[in-house]
Amino acid sequence: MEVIPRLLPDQIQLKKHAEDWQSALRLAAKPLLDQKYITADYVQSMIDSVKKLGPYIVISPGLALGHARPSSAVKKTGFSITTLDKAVKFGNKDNDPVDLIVILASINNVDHLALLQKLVSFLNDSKNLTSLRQMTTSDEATKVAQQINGDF
Amino acid sequence: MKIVAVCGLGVGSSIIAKMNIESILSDEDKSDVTVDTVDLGSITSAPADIYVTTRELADEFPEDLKKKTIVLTNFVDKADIKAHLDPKMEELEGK
Repeated sequence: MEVIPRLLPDQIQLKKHAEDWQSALRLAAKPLLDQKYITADYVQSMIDSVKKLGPYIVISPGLALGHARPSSAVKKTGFSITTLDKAVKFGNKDNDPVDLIVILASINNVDHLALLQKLVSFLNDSKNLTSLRQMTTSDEATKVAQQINGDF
Repeated sequence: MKIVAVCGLGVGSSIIAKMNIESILSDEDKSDVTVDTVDLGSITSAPADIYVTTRELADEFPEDLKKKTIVLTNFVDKADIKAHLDPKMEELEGK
């Protein structure tokens, strides 16, 4: 039976501070690194792919989707979500500056899709984005995780 | 009709674009349109009627594919995607 990965409350970080896009990506990846979903190589691959391909990972106004290819640097499929206290520039003409970062890690090309679909449904509603950006407490983070997982 | 969403690696933004496009097509009852994803490096081996991508990556496209390409700045806003996609599909359908 397929097990759908879940977004955990401690994979949501609110109002964190970063000076530039690289430190923002490192910061946003930290929960997944600390929880051993990914290794440091994955974080570096994410940064390298932006350097190589450009800031296309900023997929809508203020929102960056940090990810690299599935590889041995991913131990477990999961996501993290981080909001920044101060937006940083990624160099994207249309969607800078960024104050919301989603990190996506998948062990293969399939395992993340169910959770990604839930996340996309959440992101489709601009009201969700507005309220997420205003949140500050861990209780609010828990509610967002439950909402994205579809617990209520 | 075939739509291919293109991103740098073929696993993140293009998948999000595909999910949103499929949702739009479903709302429009267009069951004869398929959506695939591909990374930029594999684009020439993924023939399609319409390519969907971001401004950064569109610049890297082979010249002959550019006229088939829709540049999206927002992969999350379905209304915005629909506003770009519908005219292109109508053009291809000869309406």
